[in-house]
Amino acid sequence: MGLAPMSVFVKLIVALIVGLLVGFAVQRSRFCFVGAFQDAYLFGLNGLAAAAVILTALASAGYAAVRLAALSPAAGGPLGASMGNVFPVGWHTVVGGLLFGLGMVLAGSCALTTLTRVGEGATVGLFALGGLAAGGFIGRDLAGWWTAHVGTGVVVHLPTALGWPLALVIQAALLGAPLYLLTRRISQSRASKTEGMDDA
Amino acid sequence: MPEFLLDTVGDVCPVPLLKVQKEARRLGPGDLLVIEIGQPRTVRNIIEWAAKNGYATEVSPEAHGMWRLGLRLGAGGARKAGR
Amino acid sequence: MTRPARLREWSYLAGATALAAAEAAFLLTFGSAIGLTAPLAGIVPTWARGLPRGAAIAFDGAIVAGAFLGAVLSGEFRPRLRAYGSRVLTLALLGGLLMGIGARLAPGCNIGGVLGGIASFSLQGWVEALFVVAGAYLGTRYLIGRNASDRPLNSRPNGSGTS
Repeated sequence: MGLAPMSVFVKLIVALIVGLLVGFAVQRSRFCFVGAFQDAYLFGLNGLAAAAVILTALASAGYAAVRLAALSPAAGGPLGASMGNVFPVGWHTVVGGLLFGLGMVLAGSCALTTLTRVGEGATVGLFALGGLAAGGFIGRDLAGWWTAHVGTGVVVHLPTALGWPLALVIQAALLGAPLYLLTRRISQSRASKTEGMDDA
Repeated sequence: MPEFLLDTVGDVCPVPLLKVQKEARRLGPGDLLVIEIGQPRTVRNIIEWAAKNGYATEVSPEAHGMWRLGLRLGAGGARKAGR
Repeated sequence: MTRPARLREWSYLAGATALAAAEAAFLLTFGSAIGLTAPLAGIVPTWARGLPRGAAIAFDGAIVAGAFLGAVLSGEFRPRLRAYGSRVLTLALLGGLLMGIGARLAPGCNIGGVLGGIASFSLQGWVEALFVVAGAYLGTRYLIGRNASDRPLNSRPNGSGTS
């Protein structure tokens, strides 16, 4: 049997609670995607990047569980429509990703941490937020032009294209490799730390 | 035993830690680098970096959203980070 | 007002777990991963269709409110009006602009495009992740170049004493 469809009211409440939880968790844990990259690349601190990979793995597991449950004949209702964020891939992804990555480093925060920074009272976040909104309106027109003149790209949902078993193996490998590299360096630095303590 | 002051309150990541990294190289035994910080993330960032690179830290909250972090060479001296 | 109660900091892993739980709740409710930037560009994202207008932007507002709550309850909230120099503010505006454009093209930010895309087993998420990292690499090279050529060291012997 399927879940009962949720009323608009319940959906709004869930959106607000999830938003509060996300903002609170990021503020308390100092989670930051820009920091994940820069800590690892500039300073050899891999903890945050490893946590970001783990977050992606946990979210993947949650998605797989929901989708696989939706495949069972008993399921229906909202589960059946839970496709997640499957967008077309193409050159727009390359250009958009480059612009986004460059922008988040210049601003010192990505979209999520721009919002939490505003919540912490830092006015620099308001400047980044203004830029995000203005850029969003420009980008919206640019995306429309791109679709009309360059193309829309192709939608590739790995489980649909390859089947769930192979998709799960690929996903585990693509997430496991960076996690292994990041945590190996963490444990190496732990090892050298204990050596240093012996010296002292 | 000189004391140095580094203000990072108007900076966003990763500039505070880049500055700290640069200043910390000049610390001799017993020197103290006092860092003023206005971003919670920066506090944890500097503590993690210091622990990895052989510096001792001491944090004191100054006011709401303001920290002072004291950084000195640890007992074993600065560790060459194998970045 | 009396001293606010101090909350403990969370570990990165605790943050990651909470965010994963939020993603699961969102997926079960809306059939979509969390996204942040579409409402900032005046677009109603797919997940908010059928909800009152403004619900999507209220979600972004709830994130700001959640961070505000965390900052206030831990004694970390501080309105900073004049702390930042014009260079930092200009870069924030420019960086925000580039992010806004990029997020509409890719499509999606780090949350809706990269995290949500990869978690949905979509190739787009992986490709975007690769090029976000490439863009971040280029930006960081630029930043360290700027930082290296900055005025000489910012610290000075602190004669007046700090204690």
